[in-house]
Amino acid sequence: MKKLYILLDNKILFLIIIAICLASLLKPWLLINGILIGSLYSLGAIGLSLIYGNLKFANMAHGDFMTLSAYVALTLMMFLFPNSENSASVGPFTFKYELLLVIPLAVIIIGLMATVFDKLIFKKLRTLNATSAAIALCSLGLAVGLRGLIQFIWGTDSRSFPRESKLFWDLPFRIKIPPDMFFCAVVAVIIATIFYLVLFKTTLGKAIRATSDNPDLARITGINTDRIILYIWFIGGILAATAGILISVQQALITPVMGWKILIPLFASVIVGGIGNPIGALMGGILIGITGELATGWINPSYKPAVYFFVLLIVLLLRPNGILGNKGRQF
Amino acid sequence: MDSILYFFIGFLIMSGIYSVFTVGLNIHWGQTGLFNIGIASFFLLGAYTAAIFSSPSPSLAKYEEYLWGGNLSQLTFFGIDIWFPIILLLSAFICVLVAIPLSMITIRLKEDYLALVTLGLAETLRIVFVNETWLANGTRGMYSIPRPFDYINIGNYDYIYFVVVAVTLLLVYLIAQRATNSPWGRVLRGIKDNENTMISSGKNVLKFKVEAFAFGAGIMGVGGALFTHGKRFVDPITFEPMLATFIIWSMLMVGGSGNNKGAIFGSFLMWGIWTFTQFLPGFLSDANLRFVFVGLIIVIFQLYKPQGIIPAK
Amino acid sequence: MKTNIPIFIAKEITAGYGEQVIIRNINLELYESTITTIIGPNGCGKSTFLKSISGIIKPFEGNVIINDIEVTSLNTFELSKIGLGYVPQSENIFSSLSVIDNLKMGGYILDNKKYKINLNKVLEMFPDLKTRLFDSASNLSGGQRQMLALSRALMLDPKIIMLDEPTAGLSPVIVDEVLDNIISLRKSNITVLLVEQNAKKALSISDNGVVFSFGEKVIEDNAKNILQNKQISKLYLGGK
Repeated sequence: MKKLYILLDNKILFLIIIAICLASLLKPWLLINGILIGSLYSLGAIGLSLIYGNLKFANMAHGDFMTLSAYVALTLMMFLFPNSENSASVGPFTFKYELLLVIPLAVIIIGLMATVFDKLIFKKLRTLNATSAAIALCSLGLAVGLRGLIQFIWGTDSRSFPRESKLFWDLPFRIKIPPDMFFCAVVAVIIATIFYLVLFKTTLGKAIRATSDNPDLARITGINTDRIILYIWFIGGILAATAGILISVQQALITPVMGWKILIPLFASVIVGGIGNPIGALMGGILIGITGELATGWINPSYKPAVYFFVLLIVLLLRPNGILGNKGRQF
Repeated sequence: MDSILYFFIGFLIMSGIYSVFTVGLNIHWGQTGLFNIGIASFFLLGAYTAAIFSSPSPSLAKYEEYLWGGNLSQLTFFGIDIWFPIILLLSAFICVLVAIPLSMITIRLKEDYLALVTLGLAETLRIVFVNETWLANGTRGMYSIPRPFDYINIGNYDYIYFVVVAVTLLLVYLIAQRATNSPWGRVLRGIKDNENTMISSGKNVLKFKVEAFAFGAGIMGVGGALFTHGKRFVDPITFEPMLATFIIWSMLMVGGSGNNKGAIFGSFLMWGIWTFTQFLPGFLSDANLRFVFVGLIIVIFQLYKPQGIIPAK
Repeated sequence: MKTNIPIFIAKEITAGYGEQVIIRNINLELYESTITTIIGPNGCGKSTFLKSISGIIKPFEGNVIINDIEVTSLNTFELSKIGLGYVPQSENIFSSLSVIDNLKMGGYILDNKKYKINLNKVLEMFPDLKTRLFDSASNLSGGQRQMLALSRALMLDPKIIMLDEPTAGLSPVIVDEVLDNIISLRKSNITVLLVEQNAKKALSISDNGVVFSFGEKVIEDNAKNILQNKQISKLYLGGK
């Protein structure tokens, strides 16, 4: 069985790459769509990768953090700027200037909320030496509870931010780019880069990596690992929150299940890029996006989630440590 | 008085059906430590198998309206009562058929990867059944699924179905107990407690895990079939994760992860809370609060009482 | 050079893991600028003892007093500030970080000036590391890892340093190097507590020796006396 794997392994990957290249040549607008949609997944994946890589469990509640932040931002918007329906939108984008003021507030709230969850729930699990699966199960309970709370407070109807319709940018080869998506893509690249620099060039980032590498040694060294973990949750929460708001701006829709629905492609992006690697999450998201969009050129678009599932499956079987040649998972 | 009894019987039937699912999950998680959050997959497969194979094939007159699956018209000819146990076994069989290759592919993976795969599978199956309307009528769903033993005339049919469910549950429980207390079951528990020890003692851990996964899946399939015949209607929306996966997890966590009695107890308790909270005053009866409650149960029990109310011996 | 008052006292330490008790009623005093080595058969609790007095695990019973301060209840990361250094036996470096980052983490709680001073001191002592500052710690050889692990601990200017089997798995030449480094620690007025399998070599550089057996301290004496004691030699040092 194992020998069969190794034999087929490289051939399968080769075929996949050829397929993607061919498809992109035949329908280039799908490639561009894929890159743009993929960058949305990247946004969510960066935060998820941080938590998966450093806290060593699959946070099933990540999607619901994203959803919650969109609703919180909406509520802040309506409360602080009730007239924003009539105000000006930013440049070629659909959102209003007021949103830019609301975003920092909303993401900090979600970041703090994430640290509260750590104090209430995950810290205890750590002291119990719970397995990664047990912690993930707990985060699943948290996800379900959060979604119920969101539906309870805001109802199940879909909402959206105050927006102004804008034209797509028309490019050759039938490529149409919604300006919002372009904005999100740029933000994703910026965030991934900033975050990579933080993790690898700052002392805090190194302390985070040290804590996740060897928590006992980190403590001996004088690092307050509990506080570092709170930072990890805070940053993870902020990243999730940013992703949630931007995604709901881009799709002009806020629904209670929006975060949960993209959990599979998010995890696929994280795993493809190598768990814990922010640049990997960026690339992983784009790759997942490309694969999904290209597939819709040939099969029923409602099957996109199935495509993401298959990509996840293939990656887990052939390259569970990611395709960037990372050390990958160490737990 | 009559309607209260009627309501109560309905509650018992659903609790019994969910008990079957929870016993299946117990085999997966409680016994072997397999992290399956796609229970909905096997629920769905079992339910649709039962629906497809027990429904009459389309008659020409109704062809324009429906696109049924199924072709075993002789089932209705003989009456499905003789064939009902066959339907249950068939549902279990289809689930096992899907579970074996799936677990062989994924069983090497870490537990949380398995969780992601099972989650994705559930969603994928749902989409398949929504889009492939030739299979099972897509989102319209399949109606008027026949009732087993409905020629027995004692007034309210639900009493009959209650007996059907109770007997099935009893059989499932006995089989599961037999399995979990056997040497095979002990190996599974060993795998959950300390996989490395099991590996070094020479056991083919992967084989056992695949067997456990298939066994649990089969049980869940039986639950799906019971569900279909009870509700007499099935559509893809039935299998959205809240009622087809998460509530079952909360049932296992509450009742007792690792023992079948606890699984059944937890099902009755949680379904009781789910059903009876609709009678609470004011906003407390809001369905969304039940979601919150299910989530809370999973978290609180994981933190403070991971063995559940009825601990395994 | 001994002073009269011990700078480290472990009183009646009983410790273990979960419900299992590994060591019972251990008493130990350390004096400034001395090297003490703990020896004993595998599984007798030497490592557990070190862990229980350096904050890694909390003892079930007993106290640890450093310079007249009761430290038993302090958090692990607070102990580093009191001048206690500890180097575990395995997993004693951050393998996903570079050498210089390992040292940076060692000096995490120091201000910039102190960090630079200590970094230079440490690189002075282990010039080998200077040439490999930006390499990943996972690429170091066994001996270099030990050096890095020790330097990491030295970044905090510990007054007392505890080493768990620092020569484990090293070739005899490197073992001697490591032991030489430990001697120079004593020269810098650092108190060293050592757990070692290489009992003979370790005792030969030590002032005091302690013998553990089945979780209890059975012998404590001048290191020279232990080396010359034929009975102990046979039982614990591989005999003559």
